[in-house]
Amino acid sequence: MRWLHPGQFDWTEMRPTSAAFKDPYMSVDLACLTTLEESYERGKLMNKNAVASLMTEQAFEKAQTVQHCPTQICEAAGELVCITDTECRAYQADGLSRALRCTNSAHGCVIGNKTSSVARFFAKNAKVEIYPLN
Amino acid sequence: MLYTKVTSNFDTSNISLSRRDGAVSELSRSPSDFGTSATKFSHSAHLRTSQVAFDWARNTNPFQRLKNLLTLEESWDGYGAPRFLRPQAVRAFDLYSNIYNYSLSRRINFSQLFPFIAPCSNGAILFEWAGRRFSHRELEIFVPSAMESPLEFLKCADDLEEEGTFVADEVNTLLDWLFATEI
Repeated sequence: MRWLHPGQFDWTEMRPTSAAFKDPYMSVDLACLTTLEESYERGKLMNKNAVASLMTEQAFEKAQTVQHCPTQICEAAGELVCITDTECRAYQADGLSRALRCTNSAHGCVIGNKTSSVARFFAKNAKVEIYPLN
Repeated sequence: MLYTKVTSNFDTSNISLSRRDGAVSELSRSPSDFGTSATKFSHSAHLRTSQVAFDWARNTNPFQRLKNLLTLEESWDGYGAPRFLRPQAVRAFDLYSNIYNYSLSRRINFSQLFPFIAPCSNGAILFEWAGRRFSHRELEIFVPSAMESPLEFLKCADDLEEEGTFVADEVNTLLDWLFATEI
C-alpha cells in the first residue's frame, strides 16, 4: 500500500499518475504486516489522504525486489535512518550504533529502476483503496 | 498549512508568459515570428506564490502547478522526496513554453493540448497527456532532477510502448505523434 500526494492524483478522472511510482526506492506499507486503516492513519499524519495498493507479483513482474525495512527514527537527531540497504538515501553507516525508534514496523521498499514504462505500469495497475477526500 | 511567500524571476529569453490571476492570460508576439519555430514572446514570468495553500486537487492549470512545485517542502510526499529546485523548474518552464509555442504554430487550441503536471517522488516533474482526453495515444515526459540528465519520454499506443530521451526542442516531434490521431 502506498500513500498518494494529491498532486500525483488526477482528480478529474480519479486515478493515480506515474508520478507516484517513479522512485527507485519506493516506500510502501506491507499489507501482511498492517491494515489499510492503520496505513491510512499514518498517511493522514503526513497530509496524505489516499492509499493505493499494488500486488507484490506485479513488482516482481517488473524485475523489482520488495524489502521489509521498518521505518527507524534517530532519537537524538530526529532523522530517518535506514539500516537495511546501503543504496537507500536514508542509509546511515552508523545507524546501528544510534538510539533508534521504530515508527512503522510495516514499512517496506519496492526497489529497482523505475523506468517510465514501469512507473506507468504501476499507475495503471494500482488499486485505489481509499480515494482522496475532495 | 500556509506556504511562505516566494518570489523569484526566471530568465525567459526565448519565451515568457504573462499571467493574470495565475493563469496564462495574455501573449504577445511579433507578427513576423508567427508560424516559425523561433516564435518569441515579450513579457516576463514571475514565480510568486500566494499565502494560501495551493489546491493540488482542483487546480489543473499547468503553469500554476509548475510554479507551485517550488513550494513543496522536503519530504513533501511523506517518503523523503527531495525539494524541487529552481534550475529544474526553469527547465520545466522552458519545456512548457515549447509546448505552448507548438500549439501556436499548429494553430491548436491550448486547452486541447495542455498536459497534466505532477510531482514525482524521485524529484522528477511529470508532463502527462493521458486518460479520457487522449484515448488513442498517450505521452509522458519526465523532467529529471539532475540537470545533466536528458528529458525522458514514454509513448503509448494500444499495447505498444516506446521510451527514450530527447532535448526540449524536439518536443514538437512527440506532440506531432500524439496528435496524429487526435486532431
